[in-house]
Amino acid sequence: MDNNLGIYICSGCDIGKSLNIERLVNTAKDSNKPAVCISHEFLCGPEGVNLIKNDIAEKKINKLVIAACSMRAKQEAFNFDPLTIHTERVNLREHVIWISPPNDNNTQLLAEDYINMGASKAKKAAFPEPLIQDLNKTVLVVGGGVTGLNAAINSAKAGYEVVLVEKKSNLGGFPYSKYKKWETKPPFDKNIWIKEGLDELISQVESSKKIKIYKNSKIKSVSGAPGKFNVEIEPSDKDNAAEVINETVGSIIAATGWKPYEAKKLDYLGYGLTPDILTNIELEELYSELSENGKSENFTVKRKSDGSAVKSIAFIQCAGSRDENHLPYCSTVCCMSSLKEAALIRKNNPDANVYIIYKDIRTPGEYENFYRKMQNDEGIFMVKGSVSDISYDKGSNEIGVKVKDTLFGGDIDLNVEMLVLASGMVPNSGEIEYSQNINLTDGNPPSASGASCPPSIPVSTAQVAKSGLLNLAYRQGKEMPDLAYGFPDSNFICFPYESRRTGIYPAGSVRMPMDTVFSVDDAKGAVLKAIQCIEQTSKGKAVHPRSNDMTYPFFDLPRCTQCKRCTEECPFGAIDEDEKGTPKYNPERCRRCGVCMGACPVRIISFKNYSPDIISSMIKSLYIPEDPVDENYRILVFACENDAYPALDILGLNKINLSSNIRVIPVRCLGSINNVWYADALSKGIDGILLLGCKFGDDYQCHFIKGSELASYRMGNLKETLTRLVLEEERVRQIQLEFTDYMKLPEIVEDFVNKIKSLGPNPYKGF
Amino acid sequence: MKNTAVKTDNELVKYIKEVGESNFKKCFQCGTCSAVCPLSTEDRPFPRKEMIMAGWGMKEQLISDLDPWLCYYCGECSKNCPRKAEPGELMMSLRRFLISAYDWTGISKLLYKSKYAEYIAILIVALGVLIEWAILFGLHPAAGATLEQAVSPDKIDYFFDWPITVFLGVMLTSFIYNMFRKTVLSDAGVKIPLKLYFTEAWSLMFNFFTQYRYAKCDDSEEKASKKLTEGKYNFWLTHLFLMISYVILFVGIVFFLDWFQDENSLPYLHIILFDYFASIGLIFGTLYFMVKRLTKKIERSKFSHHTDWMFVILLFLTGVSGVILRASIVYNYSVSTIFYIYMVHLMILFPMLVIEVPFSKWSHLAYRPVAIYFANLKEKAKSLNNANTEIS
Repeated sequence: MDNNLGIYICSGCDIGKSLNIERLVNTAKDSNKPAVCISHEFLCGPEGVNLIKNDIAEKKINKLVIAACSMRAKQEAFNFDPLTIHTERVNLREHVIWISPPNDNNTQLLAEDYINMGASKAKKAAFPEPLIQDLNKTVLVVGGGVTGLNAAINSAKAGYEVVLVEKKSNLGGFPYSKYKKWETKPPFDKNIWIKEGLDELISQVESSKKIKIYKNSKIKSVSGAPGKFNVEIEPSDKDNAAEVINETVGSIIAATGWKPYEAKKLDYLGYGLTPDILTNIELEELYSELSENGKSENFTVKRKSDGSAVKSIAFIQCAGSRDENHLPYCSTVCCMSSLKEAALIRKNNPDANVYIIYKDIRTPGEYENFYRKMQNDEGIFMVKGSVSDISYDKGSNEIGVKVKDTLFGGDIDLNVEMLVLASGMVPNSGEIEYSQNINLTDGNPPSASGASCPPSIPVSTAQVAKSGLLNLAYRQGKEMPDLAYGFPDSNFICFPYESRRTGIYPAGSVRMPMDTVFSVDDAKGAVLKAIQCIEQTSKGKAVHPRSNDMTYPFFDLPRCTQCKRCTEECPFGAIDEDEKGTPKYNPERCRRCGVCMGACPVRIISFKNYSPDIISSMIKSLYIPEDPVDENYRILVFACENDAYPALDILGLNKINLSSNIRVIPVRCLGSINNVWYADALSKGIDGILLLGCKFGDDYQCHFIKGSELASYRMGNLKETLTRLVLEEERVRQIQLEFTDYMKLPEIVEDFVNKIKSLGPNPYKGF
Repeated sequence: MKNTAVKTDNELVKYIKEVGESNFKKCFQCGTCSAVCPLSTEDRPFPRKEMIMAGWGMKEQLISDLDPWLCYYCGECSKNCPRKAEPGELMMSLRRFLISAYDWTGISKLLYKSKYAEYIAILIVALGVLIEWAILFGLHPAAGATLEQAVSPDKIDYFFDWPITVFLGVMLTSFIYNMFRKTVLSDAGVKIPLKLYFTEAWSLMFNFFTQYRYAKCDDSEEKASKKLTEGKYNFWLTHLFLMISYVILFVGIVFFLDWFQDENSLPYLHIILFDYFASIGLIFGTLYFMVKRLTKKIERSKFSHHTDWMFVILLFLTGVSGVILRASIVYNYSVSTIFYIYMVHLMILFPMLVIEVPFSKWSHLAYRPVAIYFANLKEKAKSLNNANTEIS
């Protein structure tokens, strides 16, 4: 490989006014011996860029160091083919001149170090060899409900083949057998039959030539990777001796929907005392029955116990929801559902009184107008309160409801003929088992705000999905990982559609509770992600968050010790293993985060342009002065590229000063930090190491799910090493930082620098 | 509140809707109204709870509630209500409801529900007055008779003024007693010691004569003199003027009727007081309120029920016809002219008294100060009870 290094130093944006550019150019030349080393006063302009292009063409420069602004700026200007040109962006602007005093020796040293680090990296970086393949582009849709149908039809419309698997004998999902849907527009009195819209959608899907439908079927197993998933489909009915069918697909949309919370668990609300105490689903089924499955609208709602017309009915909202002992979350749709049902009762039984007891009424968006309309109905009475007791009097066939802490300022009793428990949704992501959640957040490094990231969701009944959704033949387990309550997990803050398994996209109410209107959009979103994944993967490019990255980790397997750390720690389950524990890497599943690289104790994993050796070289290229005065302390900062590096940029944008003792090395994720870098840094003479990365825990923001958490965990191993070297463990610190916490950085850094100064300089300096 | 099996009174909800234009069912109990109300206190907050009680038709709670009388419809609540549920108007509707609730005859309820019932009731009373007049004085004065001969003030006193006073007194007293039973006696949690009834009686008198709570309707921190110049006391002072004029006139026609029929036009004190002050007050006051109701610029004048109009129009016409009558006496019109004017005046005045005083809006004159009195009694009794329980 030709290794022709060109160093281009921009003196625009006041860089030239704050640094001695001539000295900078000379030092860069001496330290790195580049083929070209020049400065230009406006490097991102057409003249500057052309200069570089000419050098590439004529002098065959293929390794560029562009010492100018942040790598996050001017990407269009310095846009060279990554397969043939390595572009290393050295940040002299946001990370040097904007945070340090101008024309100061320490600032100059800072700039020199950054250029040297950049040059070391550029010299050692190799070019990515993307895995370009002809992959399968079929979309598998699991589940034929509203979400699944919309996902299928939209994939077909986009030109992709679809395989649709549905466990029941009919398409339409959960609402199909139910009565009417709720209104989305004023005056809210049309009350459309569910089947009307749904039948049309079903016929569209069934008549599409691009969609292959398997009814009465479920997924036996899924193996492989995006673009080459092998799916085994078997009949839902175990007794059916039909054969297992194999399909190859490119990506998977899991739209398996939801089921109602188990009614038997609502016995504390009277369920079971009388057939007139029913769940909202059972009420819907009652309507379907009374309407003769959609044939007639003119029926009176009758009591199940004696068939008499219902004259008084109460709804209890949040039945078994927002409750630590049952479902801790809100299911979004039950308030609308109850209001709809109340409206229908009022239509069919004009003399009936409807009572709604709620903790809150949640009718998001324009549904608020429907709530207002129902408020005004002369037969509907709503009050906030908590239900303290339900009783049933056999003699009078009446249900007694005791409500306390009502808005009336006290308690009230109600006697009604029918009681509806508005219960919540549970995702169909497998068998759900309730268990105590293990608290992962003890002993964390502090977050930037000082708190230790307590879980923000009650986790006392966090559910662990057991089996049955997709049966992934992955080393890390069959199930889609979930964070809580059985909903497949994604980085909810940044990438709500990505799951922890590349190429598999949960959509609809299996992803989070939602109504059918939202499900339609959710399906479309999942389709776009599914298509994006197939297309990106076939070009060798990664999906979120390192979109378009064409590098892959290389495993030097002969040196592998089968410790299984990489196979266990990969956040996306991309690495399977054989019987001996040797990793089997699946490139199509990979998100290029580098967590495996950080895990490997023998350092056999590396990327072409990001490896243990490359970063070690960067560290070794630093100038560590020996004289132990304050300004000579050197703190290495590993900043993750997702939140920490941008936070530093924004700090620079605000021209807030930061200590000149720090040297920032951007990393893909704190999880990709290999422990050898600590050793290299400390033996080089670095006095302290600071890790800045995204927060972890139940409310995590780490863009690679558990990268920063792993970094924190691995530091435990480091402690032993440090003690052996007679170095204090306080010399290494990890901070959890959000992008918006940039204003806390000066304090964080100063605090750490002061701490290091109080410990004294690294005794290994100069060795 | 005790545990009670709640039965929503749908009829009551309908009735409250009929006697006002409040959208009380829109209320979602945010509490903004009670927070901004200048007259509501921490111990007696309103109108928030009334909104939901009305929405559920909780009859017992509403009948025993004194708060509607403590509200003077400044309208701040309605202005700030995020749902435009008109809480101020609900309090007005509740006042109308309470008037018909204290009235055990059921007549008020009918009059409030139907404006035609009110018109007919007025016509009936007017007709009754005409018939009684005809019996007493005939349909035209005897030739050559003086006014005193044609229309004897004594007969007016004995056959009109005193009977009506007794009738109104008895009716109102019984209604006030009904109110007492429902708002004070019904509250078993509070025992009021006898002497409190006397020590708090001053508040009854004070509020009756000053309507002081109107002034407290604006609780901004400015000085009273500033508020006066800004016109913030206009409504209160006009109402006070009107009410005092009315009382003066009422006292006058009951006790000093012969002065009114006297053609003495010299500016004696009683003439200034009765003729000028009170007449101006009555007519100016009613005109002011009619204009406010027509222009609808302030919150409390935006909605008008037929009982509001009937009250203010009858009062206005009473005042005008009274002035015309007095003028005709002073300027020596012919006896027969005076005779007919007098007859017409009574045909307006008596329906106004009979319908308005016990069965319609006039009754607030009694209920409001009484409500303040009862509220003070209950509050003092509660704090005394608490002190006693602390000691014991």
